[in-house]
Amino acid sequence: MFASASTEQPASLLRYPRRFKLVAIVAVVLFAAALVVATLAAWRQENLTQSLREDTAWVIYKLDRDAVQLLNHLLAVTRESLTPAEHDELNLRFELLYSRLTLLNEGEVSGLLQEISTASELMRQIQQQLDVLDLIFASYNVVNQLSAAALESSLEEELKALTRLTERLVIVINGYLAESATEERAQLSLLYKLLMILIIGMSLAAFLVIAFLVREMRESAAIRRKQEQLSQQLDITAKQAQAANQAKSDFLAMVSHEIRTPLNGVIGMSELLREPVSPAQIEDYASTIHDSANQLLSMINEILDFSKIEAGHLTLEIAPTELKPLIDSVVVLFAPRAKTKGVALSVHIDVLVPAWVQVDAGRLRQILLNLIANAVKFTDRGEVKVKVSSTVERLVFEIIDTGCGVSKQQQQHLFEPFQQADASVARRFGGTGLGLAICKRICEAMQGRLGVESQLGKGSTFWCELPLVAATSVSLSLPSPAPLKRDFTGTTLLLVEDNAVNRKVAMGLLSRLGCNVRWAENGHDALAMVDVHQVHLIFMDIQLPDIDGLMVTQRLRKQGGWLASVPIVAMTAGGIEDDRQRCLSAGMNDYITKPLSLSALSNVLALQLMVPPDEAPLTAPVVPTIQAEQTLLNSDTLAMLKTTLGNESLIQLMMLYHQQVSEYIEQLTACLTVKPLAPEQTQQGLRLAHQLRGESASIGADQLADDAKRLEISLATQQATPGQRDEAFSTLRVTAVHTQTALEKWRRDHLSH
Amino acid sequence: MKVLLMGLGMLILNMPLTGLADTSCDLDVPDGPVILTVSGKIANTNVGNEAQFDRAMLEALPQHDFATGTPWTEGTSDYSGPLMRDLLACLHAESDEVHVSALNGYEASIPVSDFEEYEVILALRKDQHAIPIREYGPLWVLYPFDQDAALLNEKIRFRAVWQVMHIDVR
Repeated sequence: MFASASTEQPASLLRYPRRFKLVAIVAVVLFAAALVVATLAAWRQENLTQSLREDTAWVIYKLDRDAVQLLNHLLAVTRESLTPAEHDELNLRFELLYSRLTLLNEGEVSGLLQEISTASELMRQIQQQLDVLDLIFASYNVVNQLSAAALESSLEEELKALTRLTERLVIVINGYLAESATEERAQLSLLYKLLMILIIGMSLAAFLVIAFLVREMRESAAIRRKQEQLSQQLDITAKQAQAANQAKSDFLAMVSHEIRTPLNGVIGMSELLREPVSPAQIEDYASTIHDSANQLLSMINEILDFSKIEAGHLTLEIAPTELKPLIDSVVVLFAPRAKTKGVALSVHIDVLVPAWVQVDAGRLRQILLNLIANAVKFTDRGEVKVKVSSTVERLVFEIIDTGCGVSKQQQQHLFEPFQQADASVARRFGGTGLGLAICKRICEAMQGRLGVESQLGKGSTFWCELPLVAATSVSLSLPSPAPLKRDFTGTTLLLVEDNAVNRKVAMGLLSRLGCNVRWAENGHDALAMVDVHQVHLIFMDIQLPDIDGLMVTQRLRKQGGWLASVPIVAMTAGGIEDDRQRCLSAGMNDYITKPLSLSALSNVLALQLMVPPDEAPLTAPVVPTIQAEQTLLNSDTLAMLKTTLGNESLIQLMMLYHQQVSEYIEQLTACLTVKPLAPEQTQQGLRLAHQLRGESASIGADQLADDAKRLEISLATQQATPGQRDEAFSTLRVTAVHTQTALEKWRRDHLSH
Repeated sequence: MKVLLMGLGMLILNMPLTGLADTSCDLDVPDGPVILTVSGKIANTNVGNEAQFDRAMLEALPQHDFATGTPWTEGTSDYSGPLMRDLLACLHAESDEVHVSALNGYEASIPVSDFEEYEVILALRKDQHAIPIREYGPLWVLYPFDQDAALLNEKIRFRAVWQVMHIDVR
């Protein structure tokens, strides 16, 4: 939220000032324009043209007036003959009249008159008329007495003509003045209108400027507020980070303490074992060491699991799962402990809950294990109830106990990593405090919720709500088979492992299984060794000092020959980096995680060495031995199923298995009798053989599982001849019949009431 | 004429004594036609309580000239005549204002300060020739328009009286 706000902010900061600037510029421009127009209007009003026009009108008026006066004067004096004084007077008046004309012709006003065509025409005529009069006056002076009368009459005529002209000139000029005044007024009013518009525009622009300023102010205030909020947020985040850091430190201290306890057991007991002791004590010490080590392992597993989830490596494997067996298999683990504590442990599954659901069985088991373990751990008397119910959309698990309960305050931190209800709990019960945090994260990854309702001293109810997706039964889903105990005498192995302790453990365990073990402590040694010795299988550590295990595997595979097909099994520490997929794509066949156990190793060996004799000739002498020693059924697996499922369920399961095996054989026959085999049929055969193998292994029909595997391999291998395939299939059919009989016998022996 | 010359001579001689142009001049009774009458508050008179001038008397006064165009004439001409302040000084005029009347009946009042401030002449000649009435003669109160553009305002224009015949010192 804050990040997005901060990226938007600069953009709007840029946008506003630009708009703001634009408006400000517009305002200034409008203001300037208004000033210009106002000046123009003012100048128009004060213009000299105006006064020039007035002057012109005045002069013309005076011209007319002088002309008329001259005429009147002439008319007044010509009744009698002129005296010299009267003559001078007339002359003066004429001269003055003439000076008016000079003014009109030569002065500033002449420009204006020339603009008006009628006026300039009249002026020309007046000039002519005055010139005529001038001549008359001049002759008057010379021929005074002679033809005075004639002159006077012509003078009168000409003067009258002049007055008519001047009168017309007055009218023309007046007309012009009126016209130009109107025009002037129109122009002026236009200017005023323009001025008004400019002023309005300017006001608008100014208003906008103010509006933008206000907006700017508000926005900057908002930004300031946001920044304050951000800094507060940062404060909180910093505190949270600090708290988280503190929690991790506490956790580290706590884990160190927790690890010390079992380590102390291991070191102390092993110290004691170095002294001469009785066999009974050896047994006791060894079991203490074993328990301590297991405790350590589970703690470290939890931590690894949590770090994987935190790093986003949690992948869910959603598959159809039958709920009841899953829950039972978890509850059965705690039954002995509950019994010793005197706590009743019961399971109630609502009838409405579908038998099969789509869920990650492993993760669900993890959650239930955790919750039930906690419930049993913190309950000293009373009962622990596991209740499963469902709504249309949700599947709800409730683990209800009558234990010590959790206070409201403790509930807040219960699901946070590295937290336990309180330090005393940690001391009393141990554990990493990661269990619930892991459960919560897994639950959330499955779109579910995990929570608790509890009151101190009155017990707690932990509930887990998951989305309900019902599934139909697609195949047998059973608890994994019990460890197989086998002898691998005569098998030669190469162990590539740099850590001396790990090497010692692995060599010890493998020797117990009868294997002949060679070892190399780095990649180069391993590569050198395979040149000299051929082995049946290679165990490869991933993190080696020189070249990593994946690279070594790739090089081995490249060398070809027996190395191209020899089984290579990765041994990893189980960290995030040790991705199963990476191992397999590097050319490895399987993957086991440390610490190693006898059962894990024997499982891997059994699985990897079960190849047809012609595929790996070297193993040929070994494999028949294995097969020969192998019984049709694994009684351990069956015994385990009997304990977990109960007699009735197991009988049902056996019947179902019986039916399934017949179906598989039927389908396989239909599929494999077609010759030559089309790719689809090969695929279908592969699938059927694989399913048969899985189900057989689950129920403990080991030989049938092995035969199914051989068939699977012969189908998957290109080089296998049709003859080899047929042989494998016929062996499988024989084994199937024997297995069915053996199962029936086992049922009679072990499950009859 | 002799008298005039003597008067002029005395005027020149007097100048260092009296200091500035504030000098009187001798006024005879005019011989020729009177073209200018000055009346009002003047100490120096020749006919009654007026000072009358014919053309020669005015020409006898110290002449000043400048070239200028006017709003009423075409092009630039050279005008000459006595400075108005000299004329008034000659008549011992004591006033802040004179009232000038023209042949055509036009009248205008002119503050004496104008004459102190500008070289205002009573133009007698235009381009060395006497000015006819039809060209605003014979006398013209003329401001040196070309020397100062500020003079071309309407107020001054109204004071530039042509066809002058009477000056009343008020």
